[in-house]
Amino acid sequence: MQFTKDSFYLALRDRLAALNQSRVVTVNGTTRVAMAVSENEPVTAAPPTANMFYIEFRAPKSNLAHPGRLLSLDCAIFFEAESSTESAVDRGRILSELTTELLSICFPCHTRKRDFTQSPSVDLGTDIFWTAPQCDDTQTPSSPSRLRRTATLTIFFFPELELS
Amino acid sequence: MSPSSQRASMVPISRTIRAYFAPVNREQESAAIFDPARHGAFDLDAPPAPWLDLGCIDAFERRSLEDADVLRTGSPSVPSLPYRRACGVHIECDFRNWGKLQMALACGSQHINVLASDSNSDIDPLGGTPLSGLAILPGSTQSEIVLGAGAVNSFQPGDLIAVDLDYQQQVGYVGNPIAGAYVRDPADVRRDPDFIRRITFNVGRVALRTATSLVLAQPLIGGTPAAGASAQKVIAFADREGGSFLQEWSALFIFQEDAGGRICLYYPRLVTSPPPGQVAGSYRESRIEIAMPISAIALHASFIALPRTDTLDGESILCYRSYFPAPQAAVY
Repeated sequence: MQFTKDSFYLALRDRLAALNQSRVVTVNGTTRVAMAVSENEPVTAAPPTANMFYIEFRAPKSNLAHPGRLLSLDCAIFFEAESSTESAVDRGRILSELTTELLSICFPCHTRKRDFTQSPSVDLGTDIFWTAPQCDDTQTPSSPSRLRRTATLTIFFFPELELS
Repeated sequence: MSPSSQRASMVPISRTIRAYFAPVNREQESAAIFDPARHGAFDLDAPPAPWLDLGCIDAFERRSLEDADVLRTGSPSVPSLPYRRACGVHIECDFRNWGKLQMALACGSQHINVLASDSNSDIDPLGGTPLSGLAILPGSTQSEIVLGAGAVNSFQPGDLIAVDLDYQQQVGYVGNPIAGAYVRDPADVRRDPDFIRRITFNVGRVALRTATSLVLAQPLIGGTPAAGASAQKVIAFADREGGSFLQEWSALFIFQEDAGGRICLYYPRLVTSPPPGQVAGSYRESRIEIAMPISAIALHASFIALPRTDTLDGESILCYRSYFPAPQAAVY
């Protein structure tokens, strides 16, 4: 399952880097593509970095009716748009930009599953694929200058191990 | 790689079917060929010539009309020799994109370019007397139509144009190089010099106008225009219920793979036809709900397959199914 998470994250991260080279954030002096997996980030009380996509992996399920023991993994991707101006009147536009970018990088809805714990990474022989993302209503988090949105989708994959 | 991964790769998973069509040479009844060895698992957004991308289709159904039986021998009789009494294939699908080709295939009859006409001309369901064609000049290609200074100003970026020869009273299939109609008698078409441009598939949209030429947004389907061809502005596309001409094209349907291998269905010759034996009639458009009452309108198409004689063994073949296994997938 970890290979699926890694492959999904890296596919989206690389697509984002190709789509919008300026969609980067600087955290602790390091500049990186504005996409992260929440569970891989340091535990902190700070609010999420603005204008950055966070991937949260949720409940896995098995689809035993399908040949090859197809598994699925629910996934949420949230982001908070923050304006750079004092009046914050462009926060809606920034939210729209982020939403459009997310919807763009989710297509095509599949990628190769690879083992990224090795270098170079190793092809694991199957693809992962996912549903089209569904966005929820705009939310206002703690800071009024921010707008938050969450998109959900389900990732499907075949396990590397035999399940009996 | 684990055996389970090899087996998992044997499950083709797809959410989209793509349609590609290519013209059949009607004079010689020779089909366009999809060669899995040469064309391979090509980039679905850049099909190899002569295949034309008609976009995604919905409601794809293919039904075998095969009639098989078995010869019985002995007493009491027992099945001893199975055989095919008749072969046939019927296909239905909905084209999600509307365009000249999609309309022509869905209607199945002659497909008409409604040419721009003089405001004083007689009214007609397919457009009145058109404005005269403008001769195209040497140096024109399938992507750029050279008209010369002055003449080029008759067209604007965004215009649709039809490019083909004048009708010269010939009989038989007309349209260069793709047949768009069949003329039995020049009198049937009133010896109209614009007739071929009314039915030609060589239609393009002007993306850019230079001082002497028109640059097209997509290359002309028929390739570089024939010497002596003219260009006329197209206002709309039209088709008709009725008529005797039948479209015949080669078709390639591909299950766009999300995971697993790629499945390709190649029909050398498809002719528009309602389902055999259907009494209730066939619907022409389908509505695909977006959020009621908003719907997308799709073009419904229905075909029967005609055979191609396979040079491998002389058999009459209606359809070829090819499968490109996923990388590292088990063979069986």
